[in-house]
Amino acid sequence: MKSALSLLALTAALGLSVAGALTAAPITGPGPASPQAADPVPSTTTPLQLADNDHDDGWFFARKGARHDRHAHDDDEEDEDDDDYSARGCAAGQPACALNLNPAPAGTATPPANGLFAPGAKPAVQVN
Amino acid sequence: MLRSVHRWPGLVFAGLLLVLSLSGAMLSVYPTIERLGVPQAVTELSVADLATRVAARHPGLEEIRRAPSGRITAWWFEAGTPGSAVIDPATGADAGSPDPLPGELWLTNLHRSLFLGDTGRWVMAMGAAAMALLTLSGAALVARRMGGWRHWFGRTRGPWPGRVHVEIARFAVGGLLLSSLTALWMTASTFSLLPDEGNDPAAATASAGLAPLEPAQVPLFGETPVSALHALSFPSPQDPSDVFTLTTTGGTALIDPGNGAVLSSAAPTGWQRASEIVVMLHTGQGAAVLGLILGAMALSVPALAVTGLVQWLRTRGSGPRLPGNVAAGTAETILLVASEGGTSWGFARTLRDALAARGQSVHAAALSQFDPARYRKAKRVVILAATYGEGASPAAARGVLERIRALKTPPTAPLAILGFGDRAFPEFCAYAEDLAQAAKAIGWAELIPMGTVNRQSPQDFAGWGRDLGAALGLDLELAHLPEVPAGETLRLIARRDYGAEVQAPAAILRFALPDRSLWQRLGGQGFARFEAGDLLGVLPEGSDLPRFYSLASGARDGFVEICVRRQPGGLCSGQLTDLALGETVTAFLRRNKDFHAGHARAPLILIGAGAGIAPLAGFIRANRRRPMHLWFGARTPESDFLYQEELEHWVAEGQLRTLAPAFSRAGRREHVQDRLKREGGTVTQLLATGAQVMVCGGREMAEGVRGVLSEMLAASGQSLEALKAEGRYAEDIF
Amino acid sequence: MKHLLAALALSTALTSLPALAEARPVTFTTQMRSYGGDGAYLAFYVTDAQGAYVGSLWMAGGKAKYYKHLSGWQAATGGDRTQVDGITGASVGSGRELKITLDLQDALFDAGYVLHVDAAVEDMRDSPNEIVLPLTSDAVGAPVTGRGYIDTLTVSF
Repeated sequence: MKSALSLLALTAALGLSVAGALTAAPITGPGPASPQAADPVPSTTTPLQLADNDHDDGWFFARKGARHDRHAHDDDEEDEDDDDYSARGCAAGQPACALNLNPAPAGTATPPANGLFAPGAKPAVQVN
Repeated sequence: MLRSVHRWPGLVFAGLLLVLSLSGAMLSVYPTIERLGVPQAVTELSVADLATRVAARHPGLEEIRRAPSGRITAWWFEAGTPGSAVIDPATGADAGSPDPLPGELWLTNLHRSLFLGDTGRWVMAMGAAAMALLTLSGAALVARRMGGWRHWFGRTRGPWPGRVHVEIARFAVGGLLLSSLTALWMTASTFSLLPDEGNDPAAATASAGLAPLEPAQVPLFGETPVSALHALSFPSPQDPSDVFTLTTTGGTALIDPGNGAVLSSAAPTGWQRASEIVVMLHTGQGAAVLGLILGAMALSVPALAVTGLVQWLRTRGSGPRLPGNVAAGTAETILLVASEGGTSWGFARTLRDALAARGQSVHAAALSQFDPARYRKAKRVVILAATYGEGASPAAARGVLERIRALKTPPTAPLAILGFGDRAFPEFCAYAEDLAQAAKAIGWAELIPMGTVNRQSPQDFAGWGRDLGAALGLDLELAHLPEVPAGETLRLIARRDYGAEVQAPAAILRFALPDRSLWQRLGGQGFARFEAGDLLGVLPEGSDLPRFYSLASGARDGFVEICVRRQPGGLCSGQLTDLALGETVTAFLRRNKDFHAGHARAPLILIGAGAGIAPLAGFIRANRRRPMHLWFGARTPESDFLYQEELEHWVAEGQLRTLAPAFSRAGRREHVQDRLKREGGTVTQLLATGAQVMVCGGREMAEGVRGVLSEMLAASGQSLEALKAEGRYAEDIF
Repeated sequence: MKHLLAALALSTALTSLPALAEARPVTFTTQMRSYGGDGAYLAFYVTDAQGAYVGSLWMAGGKAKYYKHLSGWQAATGGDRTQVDGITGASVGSGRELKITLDLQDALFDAGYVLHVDAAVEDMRDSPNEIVLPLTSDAVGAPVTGRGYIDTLTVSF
């Protein structure tokens, strides 16, 4: 039964660790920042796009609408970005993109045509 | 199948697994060292307080990070040079170098990639996959060996490499499985095979024209406890649009340094959280105690590798390699072997050689290759069948029973079956019996009745060989020598004789302890270490077959003592009982761990008859603190009450609590089991207090005792099997 | 989309000139400090004088999932991995020296362009803009010191 004890100890430590990690997040926090209270300098340039955040209930990290925040910003820029991303296949940081491939290593593809490289450039690299 | 799934990954990956486990065990200590070595923050401390304290000492503060151990590190850039230090959160003062502990980086790289980059990571992941496969197949093998998952934690039996292997594996299996599965998860995460990259907050810039706030003025910093902090990076003084980036357990937020507002944020996804927990479980960072447990379990891998290798080598050494095997289609005798550990192959070889020496043509094969259609010239089929665990068939014979049952016509060659087993198990030779029944059911003719061999007894085997020889009209002498060690010379220094009056001469023989070399003493080999209940293998003159006698003494007693009853016509017992003082015999020692009294404090019920008193007397002689109760059977008090004087002395000394002799030719004329039954109340009471039972003597007596005990146990809703499973019932039968 | 336009402008300006005369190999020698950690990821990229992204020169570190720690490059490119296709190599260990030789357009120098190097190391702090070096003829051959992981960076012809 000694071996059963080792399993018990392991299960207890495992359970406590996981429970600890799960209860620790999300941290119980305040509502969103209130710039008026924090800002010692009276300001009229409080960003309008934050209005959405300001009136949201609960802790921002726990909110499901993280994607929503993106729309809170300049819509034009956002749309442009979206087009840009979809041309490349995905937007950075989106879960759907997690399986995205790593870039091609040097030597397996030509350097990008960003105007910096001479045509037909072959990068040489050396680590000492 | 299951066995090969366990064996081959084990052999192929042994080296890799050693590197993985040893480096992992060493790494497991680091989280604890770090945890104990760094100043911890008080629970109420906020990120704002911490940032204020550190910024006061380092105006060019760039970033503060908190490791899962609670270690807080700050980086700054002052006067054109970068600096960093571990921070005491109580004061904000520097508390040492932030460099990793010595060896940690080196071990980490060895552990995860053998310093071979991505290739090495894949190699190590293969090692982890092999480890997971080994733990799962090993757990299933233990279940099979113990007779089912319910008995998974039961008492282990069998040769030491297997026993030790199972004991260690059961201790470590949980940790090894957890470590290997989390390792595979982490590899998948590293190579982006899991969708755990999570969300980043949308890019944001600081509002123009505002002077940067002090950290204390940012509301979110005041509300975030340091215990939730992962990292806080400060806006670059060169870039007026740069922002605070706060990463906590709950996610990442970009904060405007001008007004303290949260500009954008992202919460971790479920996958991301899962990956963080997996990393914690694997590394012990943030779970130091778990890390230490996992490390201790990883340390078992070298021991598992060695015992596993020894097991494999032993099996392989006795494996089915028989040069000069006759083809199945031309042999007269078909010899089929069903062996799990491979020991039955040794017997098969002896049988085959003996038959071949008498002009027989023999085809020997594993029972799994059973194919009666091929045995065209066969005149007989002989099956040697080992029984594994609690009645299971050996791996080498899976499905054969079904194949026999499915035969439409029985083979014409008659069948002889010899079962190998251990009477200590409840289902002695159960598989051989199953085979015999299946053969009978299809009408397969029997050459000779089924024989059995207990614990690889050469005598049992030789006896069965004589029966087989008689049936074949051959003089078959099967002298099988299972690993007989070189004997040592023992000199008789004392003897006491009994039983002459009842025509059953018996003797207690005491030999001097042979000289032991320093090497033997250190290694506890040979006669350097033994105790009552172990076996003395005596090699009589004129025979290669050793006879085993239970020892009535331990090494500490300083002598070797046995009891011998003279068998009519017995070669060995004759020589021993005729031995004069000063004469010698050749003998060796065999450990018999299943019949040791052990170190428990629970009462011990000893039951024996005749020469079976020997180990029991040895237990009592060595007893210092345990309540022991002896039921002993003899013929008359005057003739063969072995150890009578000693037993009475031990009762007086308190080493023996009760002495209950039963005499078959005097007084009540009862056997020991009869007296046991008569005193059932006492026995039941002792059993209720957790008493252990040890029985030594002849087969009939043991059967009688089993019957009596079973009845008593049944009355209180228990069973002998349950007692055995708890390790509270042991037999040594001859 | 300013940066795309800038890149477009630059490339049309350059391609209108005879290519052979206008390109030359440029060597970037990066000496790492002994920072006591695992291999560093480094992103070499170029912005114009206003800070708009023009293009990437080199990425040391092959796993795109870690690029978000190169936060300057990440912000400039939106994490677009195709920006470093064909110019990606291994990460650079503590105390090691990385020497990259690239055939670059001549017009890159003395035109207001700025070289940025972002650095990041596992379990250590991220260091965006570890080095910010205006690409002028004066900068060639003169070692520049980094803010954290890089001891010196020397650009030479």
